[in-house]
Amino acid sequence: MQNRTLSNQVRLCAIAVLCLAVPAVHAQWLNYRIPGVPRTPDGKVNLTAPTPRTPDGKPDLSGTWESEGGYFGNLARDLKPGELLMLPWAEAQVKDNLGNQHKNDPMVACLPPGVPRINMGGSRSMPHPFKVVQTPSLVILLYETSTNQTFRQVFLDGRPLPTDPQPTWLGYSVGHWEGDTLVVETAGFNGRAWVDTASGHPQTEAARVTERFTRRDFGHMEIDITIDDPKAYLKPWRVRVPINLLPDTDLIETFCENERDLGRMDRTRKP
Amino acid sequence: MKASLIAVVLVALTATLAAQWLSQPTEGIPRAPDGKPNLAAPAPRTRDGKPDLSGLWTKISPKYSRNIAADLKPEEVQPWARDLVEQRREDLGRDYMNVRCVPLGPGYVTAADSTGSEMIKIVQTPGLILILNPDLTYRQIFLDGRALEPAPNPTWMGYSVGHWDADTLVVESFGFNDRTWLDHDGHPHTEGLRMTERYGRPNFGSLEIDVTLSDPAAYARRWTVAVRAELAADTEMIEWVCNEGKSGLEHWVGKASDERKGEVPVAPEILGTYVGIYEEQRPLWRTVPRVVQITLSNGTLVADMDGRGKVSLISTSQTTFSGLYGLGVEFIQAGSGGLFVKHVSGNYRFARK
Repeated sequence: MQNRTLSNQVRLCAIAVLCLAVPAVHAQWLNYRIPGVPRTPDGKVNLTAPTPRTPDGKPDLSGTWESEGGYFGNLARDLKPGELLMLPWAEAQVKDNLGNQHKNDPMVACLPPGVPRINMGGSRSMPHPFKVVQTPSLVILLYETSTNQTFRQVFLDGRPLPTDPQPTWLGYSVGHWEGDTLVVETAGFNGRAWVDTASGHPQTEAARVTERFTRRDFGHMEIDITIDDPKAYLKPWRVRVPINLLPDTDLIETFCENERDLGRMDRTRKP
Repeated sequence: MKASLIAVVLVALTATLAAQWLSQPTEGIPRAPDGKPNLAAPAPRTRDGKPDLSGLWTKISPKYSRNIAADLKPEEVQPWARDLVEQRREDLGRDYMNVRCVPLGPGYVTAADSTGSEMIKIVQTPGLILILNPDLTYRQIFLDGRALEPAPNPTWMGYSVGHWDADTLVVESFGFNDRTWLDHDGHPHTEGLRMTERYGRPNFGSLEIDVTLSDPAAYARRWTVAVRAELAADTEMIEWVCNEGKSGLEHWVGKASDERKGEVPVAPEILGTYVGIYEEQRPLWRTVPRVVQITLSNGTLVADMDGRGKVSLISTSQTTFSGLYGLGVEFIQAGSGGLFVKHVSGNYRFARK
């Protein structure tokens, strides 16, 4: 895995929106040797060591992770024709977004990425990892994102998903274990966040997102995502995204300063 | 009226109260037979025997969230910092972090009445403690033995490491940028700021936090302020996204000194009848009632709320005044007396003690 250095951040600027959020490049602890991690004889983190487990026997998903590239731009990139069927309004919106370099992207206005887009900050040009902090009854997902740092709380205490929630950007998340897979279900979205970036697949308040996190070994995880959003898509659609551990590093702080940057992001937009 | 200008914008930032899981019973809380949380029960401990600070906490810090330097002598604040506080007051606080939608930085621990920072959620694991804020910012406190670096790249949230001193969690932070204010009044800090927080949980329901600040370029000595927090049982944080709102900055005009222009003379014998201590008839949502002390000094009415510092009131009529940190005051003459603190969100009644 690449060092998280200046060159990554420079490449990141290829997308105009993201330039405003270039994080500090000399943040500390980006090359910190994390204790208690399995290592090969040469001192590198052993990415194929077995999945660690918590004292209660569950897989421990804790760590700093980054998705494989491309899904942030187009979450549906691996799908075959017919696997993603949009309602006409959604199809028109995606076509519009593709034709205008996603200028209506909420992230342009420093707003949160939404779910599951927020998990997809991985590629050579877009390195925005997330971090899992796991306790038995609550899993916290910390995000760097290319706008503001953000977190999600996933409750594992048995509470039900809300039936009539106050809508939010990140929704409300509950989780449970199915074997060695953490199943996270999220609903209660405000309908304004996008599912991905270049194509800007929309999300409505009716959306329900299921993310199934499986840590295959020490260095590798998969998120199997199902998006069920009958007000935007004809049927639920599913993508599987490989996620890689980023060893011996951590998240970088990012914050987006709207007042300072908004006028520069899109020349057609009035400041 | 000028007194309400700050208020107009702050009200626009008030979060919606109807969210989800606000009455979800919290797991693991000791309860009385009637189901009410027993907040006097002993503090819980983790597997490794440390006090477990985990939970959702409502911070109580009426004094220091407003004026972090309330216990310092004026000359202990460096002249440039004093001038900057005065400038920010004169500008009616229009560059406060929540107005610009930037993080509060080192101020989260002492902030309690800024939207998005009323509560904290602590998530404790052996090597890492998280502090989550309603505005979706977070702090990571590393307990894995790493040291703070001597010259870190400055950030909004700084870098934090922690260790246990018996039953007290000691958190040391460094590496803040110099763009945040330490309080509502606008006390600045430099990139040299070092903050040490000591967290104790004397019983199940309370958290006591001592915050020591050291920033020689801005303050002549290090000093410690105390913050208290109460467990927020059976509820949950509400997501607050600052950038979602319109700041209303275009309406945020004028200067604090404009209030002087409409000053009305009031006889000293009338002013004398207003002197006293007034306690708020607490609205449901306020954790601790506010207290206003009114004194008379050289013919001018002087007020202090919650010990955050004395300010001269400016009369706008025989009974109404402005100048209480951007709020208005109206004295009630009927009955046993009292006063209203006037804010755009309404009049808050205080009874004479």
